Amino acid sequence: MNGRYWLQLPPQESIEHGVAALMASLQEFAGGRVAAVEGHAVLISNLRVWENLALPAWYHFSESPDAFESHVGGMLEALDWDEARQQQFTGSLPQALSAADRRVAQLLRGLLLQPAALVADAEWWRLLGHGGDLAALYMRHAQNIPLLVVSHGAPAEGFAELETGLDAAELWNRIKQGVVTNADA
Amino acid sequence: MQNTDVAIPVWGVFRRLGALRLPAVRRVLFKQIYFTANEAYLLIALIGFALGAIVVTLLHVQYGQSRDTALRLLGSLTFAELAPLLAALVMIARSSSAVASELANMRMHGEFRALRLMNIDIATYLLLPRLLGMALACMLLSACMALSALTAGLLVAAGSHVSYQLVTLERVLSWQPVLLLPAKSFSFGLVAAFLACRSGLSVAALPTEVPRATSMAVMHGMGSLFILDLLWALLR
Repeated sequence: MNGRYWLQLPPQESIEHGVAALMASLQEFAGGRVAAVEGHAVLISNLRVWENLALPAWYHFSESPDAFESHVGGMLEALDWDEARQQQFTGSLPQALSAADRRVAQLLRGLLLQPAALVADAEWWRLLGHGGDLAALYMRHAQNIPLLVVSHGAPAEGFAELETGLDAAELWNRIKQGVVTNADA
Repeated sequence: MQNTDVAIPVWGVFRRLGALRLPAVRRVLFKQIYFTANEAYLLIALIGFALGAIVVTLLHVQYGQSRDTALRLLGSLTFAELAPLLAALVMIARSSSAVASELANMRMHGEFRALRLMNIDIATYLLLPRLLGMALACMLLSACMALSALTAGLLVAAGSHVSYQLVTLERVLSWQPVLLLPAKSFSFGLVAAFLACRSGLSVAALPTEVPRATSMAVMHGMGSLFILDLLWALLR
């Protein structure tokens, strides 16, 4: 299993800013291939879901959205949705999706980037524990991707704790080398 | 509710012109041109047609000017003055408010932050296509209005002899107003788009501020339009 890391922020620091800062420093090293997943998933409202899914890869790597169609279909197989449900999901505007579906779309959007790491907030990690479509998609396609969780709480089991002042380059090296977690150790 | 307090330099957008090579940015540009120009051209053509017919009727029928003089005045008036001004006014009423409210809503719902997390530059992805799209759309709409006005003027002045007027068009229409139209309308569209983007970005990220952004975009856009037109008049 690849690394799972936990960054515990002091209570006065916002998780949102923690995620943003971590993303900004990691993007520099990962060439845009880091994805953020948060409990409150935000999609771009004037784009349909399939355009939202393709947006980061389309913007950064000019990969055509059509090229993702089969890839998205393949990933959605993990969810056991019929074709009508898949069509309705990808063709909708984000406002028409439930919060749970928006989180699925957010994770799919990240996975289409073939990310070197996922950065999550504690709320997302908590919701992942509830099972459902998000957990199914994560277990099938993302559990081997290094995961960094930003939280105010103590590290969950199986996570290696990151020091708050850790240099971004050092963090990136750890992710690349797949440093084992506390649990694996 | 999310707030993004990072200043976005709207004028700095034009340093990012190279980003138009990105298909995702070009798509936003084409969508902006479509929504601003394509969805308004019928209204603009109708206004232009009525304008041309009114000007020629007044000059030729009521004030006794010759057909050629009436058409010459119509040509220089519409291409150099009325078409860029009226098309920009219509565009501000329709699109500036839409752009401002869209940006204010996106900001309020945390979409700017979401884009930043994806390492997508707001100025490149959201602002550049809107500025350029509205400026180009303003040019297209102005040309549409000027041509409709000229067509109506020719029909009213020449009636069934309109084909003769068409082959002698160079007598009523000089190059100067024709060249002035794209330059003026581009500048009008650009300033309107700049003010719409600025309005959408400058208000607080609160639901009550969205109508304020919309109103600011229209009011500032209209005010600036007339000031800019005055500057063009002084320059000439």
